[in-house]
Amino acid sequence: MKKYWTVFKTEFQKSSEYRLEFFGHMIMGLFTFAVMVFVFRAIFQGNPEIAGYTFSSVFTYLVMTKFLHPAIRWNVARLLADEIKEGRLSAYLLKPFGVLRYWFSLFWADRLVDILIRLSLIVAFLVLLPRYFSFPGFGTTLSFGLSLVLALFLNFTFNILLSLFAFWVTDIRLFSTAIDLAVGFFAGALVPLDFLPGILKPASFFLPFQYLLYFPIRVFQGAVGPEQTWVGMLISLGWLVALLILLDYFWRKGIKHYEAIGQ
Amino acid sequence: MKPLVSEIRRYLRLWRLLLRLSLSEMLMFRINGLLFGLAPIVWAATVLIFLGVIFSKVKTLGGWSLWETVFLLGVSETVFVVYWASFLINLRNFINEVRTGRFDQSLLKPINSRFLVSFRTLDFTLLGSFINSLAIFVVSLAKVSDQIHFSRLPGFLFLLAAAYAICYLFHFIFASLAFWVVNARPFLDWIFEIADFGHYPAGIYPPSLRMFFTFFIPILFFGYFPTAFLLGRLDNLYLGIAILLILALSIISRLVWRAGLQRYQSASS
Amino acid sequence: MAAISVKHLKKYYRVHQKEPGLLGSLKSLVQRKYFNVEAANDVSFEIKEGELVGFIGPNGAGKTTTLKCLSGLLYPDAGEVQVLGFNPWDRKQTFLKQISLVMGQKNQLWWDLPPIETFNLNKEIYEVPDAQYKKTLDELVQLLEVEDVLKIQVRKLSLGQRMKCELIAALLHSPKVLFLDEPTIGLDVVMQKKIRDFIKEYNQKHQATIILTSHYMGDVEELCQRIMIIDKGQLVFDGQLSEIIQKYADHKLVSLILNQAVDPKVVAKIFPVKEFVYPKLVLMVKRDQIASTTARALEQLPVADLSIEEAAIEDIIRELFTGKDYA
Repeated sequence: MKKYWTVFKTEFQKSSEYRLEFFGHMIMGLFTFAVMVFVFRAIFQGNPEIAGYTFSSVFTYLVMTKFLHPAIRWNVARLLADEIKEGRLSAYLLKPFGVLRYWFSLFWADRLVDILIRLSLIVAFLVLLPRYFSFPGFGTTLSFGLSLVLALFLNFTFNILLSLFAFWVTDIRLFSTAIDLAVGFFAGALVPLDFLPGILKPASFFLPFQYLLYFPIRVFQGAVGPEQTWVGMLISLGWLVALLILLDYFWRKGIKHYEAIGQ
Repeated sequence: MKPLVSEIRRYLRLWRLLLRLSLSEMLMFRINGLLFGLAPIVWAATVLIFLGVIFSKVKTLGGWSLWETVFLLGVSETVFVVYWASFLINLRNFINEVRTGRFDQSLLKPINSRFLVSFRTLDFTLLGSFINSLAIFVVSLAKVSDQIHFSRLPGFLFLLAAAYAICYLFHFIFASLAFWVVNARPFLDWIFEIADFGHYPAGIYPPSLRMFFTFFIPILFFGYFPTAFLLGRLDNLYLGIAILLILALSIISRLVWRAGLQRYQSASS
Repeated sequence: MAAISVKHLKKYYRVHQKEPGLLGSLKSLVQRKYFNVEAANDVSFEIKEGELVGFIGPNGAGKTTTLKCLSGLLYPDAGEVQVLGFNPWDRKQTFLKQISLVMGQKNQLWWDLPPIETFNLNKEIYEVPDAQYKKTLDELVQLLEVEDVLKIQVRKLSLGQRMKCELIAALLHSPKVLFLDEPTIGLDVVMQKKIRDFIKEYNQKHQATIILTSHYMGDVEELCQRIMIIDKGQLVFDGQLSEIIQKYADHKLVSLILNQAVDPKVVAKIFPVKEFVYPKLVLMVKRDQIASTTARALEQLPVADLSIEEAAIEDIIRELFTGKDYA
């Protein structure tokens, strides 16, 4: 157990070193964010309300996604996939479940600093822009926190699951960006899911990705009633369990395949 | 006059050779689907859906119709790939070379250092994106063709050429900051991000911001103004502004480069 | 007229000193302390056409800095530098076409392409006529025995092959002046010899002026008649190699591996010990006493293995500074 803590600590320190880069990225995100704000402002010029949103609530939504989306992103998968590709798993094979715990520690070390900084930035915004934000109640904040934790777990599991493709496909980079984009889209990173036209809207509400971003943010905005909040969290928990089962299954198959190739 | 002509021919010959070498380089790698990955298509899909969403709620955006906006997207993305492949990649590599000291190699050659720095390779890795954005361009072109007056074509082409020059010079100035700052790459990244403002009809921005993006950080020239001109939405005046900008940026970039070289040559270790 | 003329060259770097630890980092954000590192301090010399000269000195002594000043990469802070009648830092194209700088660690070959492609590129950049290019290329390729690797990607070549191709790339335009900065670094002994032989032959055949820097005594011994020793930015010796070896490298190092412990104090009384960390005992023995001392050591000490090496260049130079004078 101690070694996982060491892994966590070293990764944590590494992440902290990239603080400057982090802020550089934040400032960059600001520009695309500003463009979105202008676009939505133009849309709302003729219409005070669209799909249940006012410009103000869309603005809040956009701010939240800007801060949180990078935290719900594809990261560990590539590393694990590389290890699989380069045949470095042999060392882990002796204790297969240890691998996942190791990557779990890595993931959290990386994400924790990230999330903490982002959450504090959101708080800062809350204080500076009372027009767009109102302090959500305690219950809402708690639900938000819980759903965020669930989102991170979901993201991790999904990450690992996708990286398992590396067992069968030589280079997951072929489609990792594409998946990242698609997942982000269905998580509501580009536009609130309620805006989606035609079949895309019900599709996005069927998929689990809404729980990565859209759901926690809507909870935060107080747009989700208490019952629906519980239902939502239960469903995301259900998705998590399903993904874990899939993970276990594919991991076993993958290892067999891995050994069969004779790595 | 004659030495100038032979100089130009020499650089053209060199550029062709560099092109051939870049192509060979690319072919040396296993051609993996990275060139033709799914990402550009997925990205295009998300943006087009987004535009669809917008235009389902409003008739015009900044005065532009759906297909005009899609056309703008097509032009912006296509020219971006051209910018990236021809000089952006090289400027980024240049920043690295200054940091690692490999820039010395370029200084030792009996050739204009700016040329070598800017056009060393042609990067083919965005080929997939290029085809993708070209497709968007062609499809939307068909839809907006009745708005395009043939007479505006020369002006459009001129503005495209001007866009290339302005984008190149502007990036070059910031890349030259590598002589002073250890990591100048963020500057180029920021320009790229700011250029996002040029992907939507500028009518949605307040006039002050438009001015800013015309004269100060001229990203509207990268792709928006040529498109707007072709669609009959831009005054001829902007052709003149483009020329002035090119002149100004040329002078500034020359000064910055000279100063930067001097600094590099006086303190390199 | 001398091919290379340097008068009172001075070059220093401003380096800022950062104190260690978190407090130091914070301090350096607010106030930076600078001090000057003198990489070249009043260096003067002249080199005639066709000479093969060695610059030696410990790391950081100023060798690379001097070379960079001579090739136009750096401005001197004071003094005059003339190479082939030019001011190097003007970087005139006619000047650059006549010189070449090969740096051991930094190469100019395109990594993912075969060397022949870089050669072609250089031909265009240096505007070498076709016939001359072909002749020079053939000659160099033959001399360096790299016919087989010309069409193989540089990334797949060994360090030695790469170095050879680097040399070719640097010599295709038949430069009159060649600067070699640590050309044999990282190479194995066999390859070092091959490169040295090539340089010697090239110098003799083409009468190219060559300056070679190295911190391997071996490079210098083989190639250079004339040596310049630079230490801490100062030219402390400029003369014939034979002088140095006679005057200053008058000893060799005898390394013994012992298979039994011996009392260091006792050993130190009988033998000229340089250092003793069991089981390795290193003796500093004058050249004319090597045979006798070695015989004595084999007799009186439990020796498992023995080797005799040249004195390290650092030792020679250190000796140059501790009490001996270099007239």
